[in-house]
Amino acid sequence: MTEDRVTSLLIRALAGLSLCGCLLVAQVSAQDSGYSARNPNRTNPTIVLENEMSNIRASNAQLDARIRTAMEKLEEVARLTSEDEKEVEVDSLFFTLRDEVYGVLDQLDLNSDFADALNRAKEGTIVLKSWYERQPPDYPNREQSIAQLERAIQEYDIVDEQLNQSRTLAQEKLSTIMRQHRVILQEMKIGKVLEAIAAARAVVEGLNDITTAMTVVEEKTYQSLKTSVPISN
Amino acid sequence: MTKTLTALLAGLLILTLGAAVAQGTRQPDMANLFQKVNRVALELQTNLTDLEASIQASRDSIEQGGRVLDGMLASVTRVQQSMAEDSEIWQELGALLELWEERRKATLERSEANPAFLPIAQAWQQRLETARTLRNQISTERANATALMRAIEADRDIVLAYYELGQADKAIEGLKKVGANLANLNRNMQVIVETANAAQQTPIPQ
Repeated sequence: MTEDRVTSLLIRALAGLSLCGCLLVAQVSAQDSGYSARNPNRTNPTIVLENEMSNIRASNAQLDARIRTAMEKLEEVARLTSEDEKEVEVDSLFFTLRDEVYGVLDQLDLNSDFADALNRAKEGTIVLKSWYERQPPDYPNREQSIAQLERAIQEYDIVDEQLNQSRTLAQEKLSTIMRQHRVILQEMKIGKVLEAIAAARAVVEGLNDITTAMTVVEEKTYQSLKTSVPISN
Repeated sequence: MTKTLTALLAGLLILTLGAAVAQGTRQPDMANLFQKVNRVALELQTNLTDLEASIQASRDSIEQGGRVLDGMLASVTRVQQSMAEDSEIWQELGALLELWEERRKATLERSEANPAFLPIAQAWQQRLETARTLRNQISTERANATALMRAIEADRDIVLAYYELGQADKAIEGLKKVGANLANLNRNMQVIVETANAAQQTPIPQ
């Protein structure tokens, strides 16, 4: 093999490897950018907020349906005659509920699109209120609009707090599910089936607190969106 | 010739792969974020040091009044840009929230089998709470800075018109109003620095 041939092959091989490296850099960069560019729609944060709200509502409805199904399932389990079958059903039910609450937590995440949209909507309202404050005192509806926008800013803070409470609540419920899952399976193993099913029912019923908290977030969000529109001239 | 070329290409390869690995393994860091936030706050504070004297010195000069306004606008713009959604501070905070959320979830899962992990999961939760406060404070100050930028831009011509009219008192009043808003922004930046400091100091039990 000549020296030129060796050089040419070497260049090709290294160029290929370098390309892989560049692609790796690009891929990592793209993943990094996901933190800030999850939802690039900055033109109207309230529209984004409304869309994200419907995602939360869908997640809430799904959890609600799962709770109902789980309750029905527990009724069926109680009627089963095989102890093994009971154990398998309860085990699978707890895994499903756990996944469901993890799904809810993703929606309520501090880094979620909803939290981003909420920030943007509040920021837009602060800037708009400042604009009204700079207008002359006789500007039409100046005072009412400033007061209304100030209320909207407070409402957004309330939504944020409610969102945080829902998140904490969902995390607590998740811990309960994990803790009770083992306890209940243990109870079933030692023949305390009725007690185990009653305990499982209490865990499932407790999940309704999450759906209630999420409904409050939804209501408060719509209230904020309504208040953030200044009074027309 | 072949040896030189081989060495050059090998060097290039090491650099390229090294960059990829470095970027892939770099983790967001609260201490680093604190330094960035602190730098922005310190810069603003430095810019405000001689502001009152500069405002008074501009009493008889429209050019100097214009320069004071431009300086104030530049200070606010820097604060706003340093905390914008595409800024390093905001991106690093987002990355930290994501990382801490993952760690909290992971320790919560481990606590299922070993309850000793529960206080660790709770400590991550506490860190997340502080980070959430920081996120809200930065978001609000970003909006306040944007509003102040627009206010300075809108009022600039009015302040300068008072100079032309020979009503320096009115012009100075306008400059002082902007100065007061900047001082307010500065106070809020100090609060953000305190929160960032608290976030980096929340201990995680070992």
